[in-house]
Amino acid sequence: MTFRMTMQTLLILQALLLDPARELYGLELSGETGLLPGTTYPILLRLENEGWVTSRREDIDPRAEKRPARRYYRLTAEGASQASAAIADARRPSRTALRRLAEGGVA
Amino acid sequence: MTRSVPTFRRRERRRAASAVMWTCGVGVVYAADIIVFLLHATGVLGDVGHAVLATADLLLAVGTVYLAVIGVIGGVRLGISSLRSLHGDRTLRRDATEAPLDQVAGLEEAGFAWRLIRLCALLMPPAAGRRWLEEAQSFLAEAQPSWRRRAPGSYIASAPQLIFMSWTRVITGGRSRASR
Repeated sequence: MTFRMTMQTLLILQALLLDPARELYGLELSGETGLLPGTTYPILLRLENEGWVTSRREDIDPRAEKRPARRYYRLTAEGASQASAAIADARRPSRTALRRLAEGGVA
Repeated sequence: MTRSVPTFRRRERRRAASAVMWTCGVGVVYAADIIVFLLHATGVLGDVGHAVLATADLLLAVGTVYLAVIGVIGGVRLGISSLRSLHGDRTLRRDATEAPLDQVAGLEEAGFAWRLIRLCALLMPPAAGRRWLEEAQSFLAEAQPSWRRRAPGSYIASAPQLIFMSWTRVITGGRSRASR
């Protein structure tokens, strides 16, 4: 992993991992994660640059559909395995947290 | 929301007049100012004395005030249209098949924020800017009102990061770190 794995990135990966074959567009991703599009877009772009995510622009006639074309995002095979590992890693309690717990305090 | 032809023409005429003022005013004032200083610096004018330097300072002051006034009354708009033409209007041009950009419900609501988003897109490489605009346009067109209110601000807040990211990608030739 060559980029910072933030909580927001994990949320997006988790949303995409629910069904790796399913394509999600920006609004759906925001709905699933609760993140604003200004947050999700740079993360998706970074994931795409890293080859974890692939995207395609919907091929529609906006006038007929009465809405602009969406951009759909989907995890790549490599992205899905990396994302699973990253989420599993994030769920593992850190050494610091365990030490604090052993010392009897969480503050 | 359609504009009547006379209003449109008036706006165009005003924009043209503003462009002429911009070119003549800023161009002449600053060119004169720079020439005076260069001639003085290279010694061509020799000891020009206080009168010439004071004139140059006055020109600079006038130029600055002029810039401020123009900036307030329409320079920003002119700047945007100039940038648009520099980009060959690629960033903001709509495809013939696309719905008119500003007539999408969410964009009308976003108003000034949408204009800011478009301005930010102009600061990105054309392809990246276009893609970002398409994404924002799609989101704002379909989002619920509560999202629509908050989304433009988040797009604008993320713009500096995206501008940096997209130019970095262009400069590095689009290599991702993973592929290195």
